[in-house]
Amino acid sequence: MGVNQSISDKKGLRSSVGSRLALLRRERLGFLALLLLALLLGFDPPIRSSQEIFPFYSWSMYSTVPNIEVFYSVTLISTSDLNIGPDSDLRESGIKGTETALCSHIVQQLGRAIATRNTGNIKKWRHQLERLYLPEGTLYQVISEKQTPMQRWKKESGEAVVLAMWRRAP
Amino acid sequence: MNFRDFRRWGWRFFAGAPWPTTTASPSEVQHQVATNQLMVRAFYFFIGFLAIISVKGWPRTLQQINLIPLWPTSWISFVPTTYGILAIHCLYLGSCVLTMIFPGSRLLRFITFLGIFQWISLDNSLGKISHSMHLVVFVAFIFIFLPQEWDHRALMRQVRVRLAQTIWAAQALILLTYTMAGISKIVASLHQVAHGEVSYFHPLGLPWVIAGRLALTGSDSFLGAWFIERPWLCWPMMLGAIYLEFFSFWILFRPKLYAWWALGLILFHLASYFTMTILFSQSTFLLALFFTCAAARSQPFNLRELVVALPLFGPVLRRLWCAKSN
Repeated sequence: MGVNQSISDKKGLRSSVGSRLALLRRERLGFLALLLLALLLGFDPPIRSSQEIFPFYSWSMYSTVPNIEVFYSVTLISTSDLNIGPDSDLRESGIKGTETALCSHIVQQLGRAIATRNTGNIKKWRHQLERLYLPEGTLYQVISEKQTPMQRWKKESGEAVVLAMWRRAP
Repeated sequence: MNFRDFRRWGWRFFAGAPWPTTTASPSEVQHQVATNQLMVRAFYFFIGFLAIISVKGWPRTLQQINLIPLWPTSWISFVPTTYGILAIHCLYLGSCVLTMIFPGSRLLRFITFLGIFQWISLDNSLGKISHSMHLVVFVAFIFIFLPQEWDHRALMRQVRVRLAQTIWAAQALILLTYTMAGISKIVASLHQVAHGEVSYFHPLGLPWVIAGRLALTGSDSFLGAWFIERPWLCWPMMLGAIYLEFFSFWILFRPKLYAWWALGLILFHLASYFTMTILFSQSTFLLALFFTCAAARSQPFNLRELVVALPLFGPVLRRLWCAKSN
């Protein structure tokens, strides 16, 4: 009886240690799987452009140096706001939020959508631009310019093309 | 090659040293456990603090009806938008504040992860995804799996190991993001070189990136123009940044370099802000917490040991030193 008890205790101890080790190993494998998942889902080869999968990072952020690129901008032709002069660039108009990365992202997406004639995206980004930044009744143009970043930064003019002229939808 | 051999080979590859055979003394173990517990607590204090300062933005976000919801917040289209936004804010604030006080509860940690995830999804639902809070979401997710009783004074060996393992996973994920960003820059630069374009390997690479960013946003930075006009100063800085990013994952296996590498990456983030107005302040906090805190030991500063531990250059410098001393 005593011997059997001792053997069963030892077996119990062994199985409890074994199960603890198995838990540790399972957890370790789980963490490794998470790392692998983050690596694979976040990996967006910089030589092609695709949408990132939230909340996985797009590792290709700022991986390429912009060379000669098409930049899109918005020029305000006329607005109901008397403080904004005619033909002023949206970013320099003084409208709140237009100097942010979000605003420039929306303008670039809208420009790309017009250039590729993607009507769904045109509607989406136009709506977002008008609702977030443009006063009622604003008449504006979306312009594309082919330039190097240095030309753009020095405000030198490039090959400009007017892609669209719209009035803010009521 | 069996699994054990593979593990040892992997260790040697990343750590640049053989598999450790010495065991830590009881006082070292105790110190490590206390440090790990401190890191978890400080992380939850930090996200509680972030949630509290976010209340200033409530009036602005509650009026926000132009949402392009990301998939985690797509349910918001089926309820009145203002109520949906308010529910997310309350979940985020309530769970983060409670977890500051009761980080031992796994249920609370899970709800906190949900709260942060929902809030960040909402914050990025205007059309552009900002990445400054992504690492916080991942660490909050990993910390759901902290062992029960991790915050007790005396821990069983298994709990200690699981706690260390969880911290290790958080550190690994943080460093992995930098390594992948470094790999992307190298791959993209090789592609651009092959096409005869200016890349990060070119002295004009960084000035063009700074100019492109400033021109795109129409913003002005504190040092942007100064750096754009000095490409020969930018070049070594950019190569250094790529080195720091690429080899970040290696550092996970080289604790001697933790604090210095974290400092390098924090300086990299500061330089990004001063030149391009891009600030990842949350990431700098996580770097400081998980790497300078983990490295806080009473070891004397030894420059030679640090230099020799550097990836890529370390072995070369070690040989040079050996050759010189012989």
